[in-house]
Amino acid sequence: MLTILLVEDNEMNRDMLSRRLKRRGYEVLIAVNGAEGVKMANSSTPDLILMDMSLPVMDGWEATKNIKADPTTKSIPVIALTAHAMSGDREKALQAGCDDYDTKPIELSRLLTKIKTFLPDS
Amino acid sequence: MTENDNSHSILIVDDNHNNLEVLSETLTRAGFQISVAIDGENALEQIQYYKPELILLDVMMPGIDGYQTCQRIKSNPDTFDIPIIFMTALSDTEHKVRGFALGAVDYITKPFQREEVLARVRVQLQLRNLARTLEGQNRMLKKEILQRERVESSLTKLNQELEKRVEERTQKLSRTLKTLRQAQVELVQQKKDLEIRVRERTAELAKSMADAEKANQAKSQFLANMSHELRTPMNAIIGYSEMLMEEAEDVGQDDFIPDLNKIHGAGKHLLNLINDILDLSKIEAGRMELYLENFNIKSLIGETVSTIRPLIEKNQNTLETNLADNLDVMHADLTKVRQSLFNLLSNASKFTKKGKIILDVSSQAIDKRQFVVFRVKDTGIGMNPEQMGKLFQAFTQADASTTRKYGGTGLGLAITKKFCQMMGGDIKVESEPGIGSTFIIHLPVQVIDSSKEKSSKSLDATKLKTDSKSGKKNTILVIDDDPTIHDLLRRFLGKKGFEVKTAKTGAEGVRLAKTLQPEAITLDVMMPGMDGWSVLTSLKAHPQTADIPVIMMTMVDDQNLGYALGATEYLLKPIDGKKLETILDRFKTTSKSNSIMVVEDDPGIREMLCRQLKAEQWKVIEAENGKEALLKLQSCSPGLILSDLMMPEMDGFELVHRLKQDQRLCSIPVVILTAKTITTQDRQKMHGRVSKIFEKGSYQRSILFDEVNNLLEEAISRKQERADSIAAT
Repeated sequence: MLTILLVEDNEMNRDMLSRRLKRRGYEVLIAVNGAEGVKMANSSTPDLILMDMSLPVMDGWEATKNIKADPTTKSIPVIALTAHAMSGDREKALQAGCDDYDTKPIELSRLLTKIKTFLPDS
Repeated sequence: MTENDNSHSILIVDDNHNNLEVLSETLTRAGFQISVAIDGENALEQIQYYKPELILLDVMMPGIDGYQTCQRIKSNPDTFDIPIIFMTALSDTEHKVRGFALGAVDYITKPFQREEVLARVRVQLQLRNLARTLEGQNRMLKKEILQRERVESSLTKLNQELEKRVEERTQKLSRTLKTLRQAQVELVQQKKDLEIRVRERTAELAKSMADAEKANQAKSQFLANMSHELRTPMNAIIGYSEMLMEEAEDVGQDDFIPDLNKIHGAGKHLLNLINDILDLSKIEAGRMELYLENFNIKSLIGETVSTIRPLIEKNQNTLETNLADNLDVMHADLTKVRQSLFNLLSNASKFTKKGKIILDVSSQAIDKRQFVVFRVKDTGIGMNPEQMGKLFQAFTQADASTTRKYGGTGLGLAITKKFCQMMGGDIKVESEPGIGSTFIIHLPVQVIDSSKEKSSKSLDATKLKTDSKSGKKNTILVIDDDPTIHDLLRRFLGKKGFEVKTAKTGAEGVRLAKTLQPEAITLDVMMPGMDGWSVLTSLKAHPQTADIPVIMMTMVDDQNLGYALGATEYLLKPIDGKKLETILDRFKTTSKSNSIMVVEDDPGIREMLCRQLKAEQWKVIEAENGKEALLKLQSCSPGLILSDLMMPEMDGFELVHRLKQDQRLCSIPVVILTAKTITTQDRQKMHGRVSKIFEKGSYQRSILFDEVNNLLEEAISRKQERADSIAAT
């Protein structure tokens, strides 16, 4: 079973997304801030990371940068979840090293399509 | 009493007729006028009427004697000055003295000699004349003196008056001077006061500005926060209701689904409303920005159509799409264009039932500028003129009741119109009730963000100074194997005032570059035989051509694709320290920052470069590859970037490409480090890389030309700046 690490600080978003992804057959790991996200990426090496950009302790850009700089984790695809409140959010995410991005509110079908491009056998 | 004009009249007074006769005769013969008197009384009488000039007066006479007569004559103010000569026989001294005492002037004794008489008379008359003349002169003198005295006294008076006036004037002046000095002191004080006030006012203004800026920031921050705060619970409502619907289906509780759907629908509607309100607030607060990028129109249409399809089918409508052939790439705010298109299509779907919706996309030239035109036509309920009038106003759907019946927020078109106008375009509508509506958006193919004052600089070679030595136009050498490209560039650059020379092969290009010494060279990357890279290394290796700016580009004419590598300079590896120094010197004069970013994956080369740069007082930022470079560039703005071409993760091509897309970073000059000897592998890789970027960032020819334009301009003007600064030192 493919593992997705979900790094999201908002409880409801976390709950919704993890439950719906589990229903779709993914194993979902949770991290509630950027630092934890980096640690878990390293220890569990998930198949994909969904990274919320605005996180406490360490934000999504910083966390992604760390993950991409670490040889153990740099090949894990990272999809940024941005609130897209400001223009340039997309580019910023890509420049931080994210492989793709999606905007909130999450449209599950759209997100699933993006996930499937990185994990085709799911 | 007037003097008698007649010359020399003499009165002879003698009782002796004989004497009278003799004297008379003698004197008459001598030319004198004579009058006689026989006694004193007679003489006195005569004298009253006729004043003689001289009197010959006998002493011994009857009646009053000579002495008495003389006395009388002398006591009369009218006659006292007449010279009297006594005549008498009495010759003694006593009588003579008496005569003189009475005022006589002379004495003649009888008998007299004629000659003697004449002589004495003449003398006395002379004397008298002289006396009179003297008197006259005296009088005149006296008169003159009087006059002089009068003048003197006037002058003195005048002088005094003048002195008085001078004194008054001096006092007045000194008072005025005092007043002026006081005024000056006051002015100086006022100036000081004003300066203080100006300083205070400036400080106030600065504070107001800072306050306004803070308020603005607060506003933006508020909008951003609100955005996040409002969307978060909405996501929960929408997400959970969706999830519950899925799970209800799973456990077979289908009858929950309609209610959950209602929640879901209401949540989505509310979210749309929130988004629209936030958009509108942002626009009105002036905080809505344009984020311009190149994108493919066909792809955008495809995306939008597939997203809107469910909505169209919901009302059993059909959608027809017509795209013109010459559509390609547009430079605009992708999100806003997408949103606007979506708005029109969703409106069309909402207000049409079992009807037809047609989307036409074409290009049009308006006032010599290229526009893309999006037309959305429907066979829906249509609108009357009154409804059309209110259409683009916020918060009024054409009719309040339509919101309730047809859904929507009533804000979409207002936002769409604002978006179009921000991009330099507009939207208009045609409609007929019961027949349908047509909405038309036109947007420039190349949107310019006027708020950033970033006007697309058009290269005008006439503005650039021509070579002072040769006085000829700026020459550009085009090295490309495709003669069509020669033609295109010649026409385009020629219009900009350049002289275009061409070469069909790399070898010919290098030769021509040496002889022509053009201002700049455009070099095709993909050429058979000696390809672009070889040409580049050759050019950079020869001192005659090493300094000529080179724009690497490539175009595929039949596919309307082209790409220019936006590097400013190329440096050959292994790096010649002197050459590096020369390049750095150039950028020292024109760049404001003293930091350089070095992007190089080989640690040895990177270290050497950093060392050299630090020695030259540059501040160095290091990156191992393009990705790391971009990351670091988020928080710094170096004055120059030195980048290797072949690097893992993200190579030099991609890096330059990305830099050119970023509004802040695109102006940083990039120097590419290329290897002197390129292996076939590398070359293939490079070609492959270029074609990949090709696809990603392929431009419409006009856009490509503009890019080449800009690169040429930058390169040449930098050269000119250098030349000027050298000339100035």
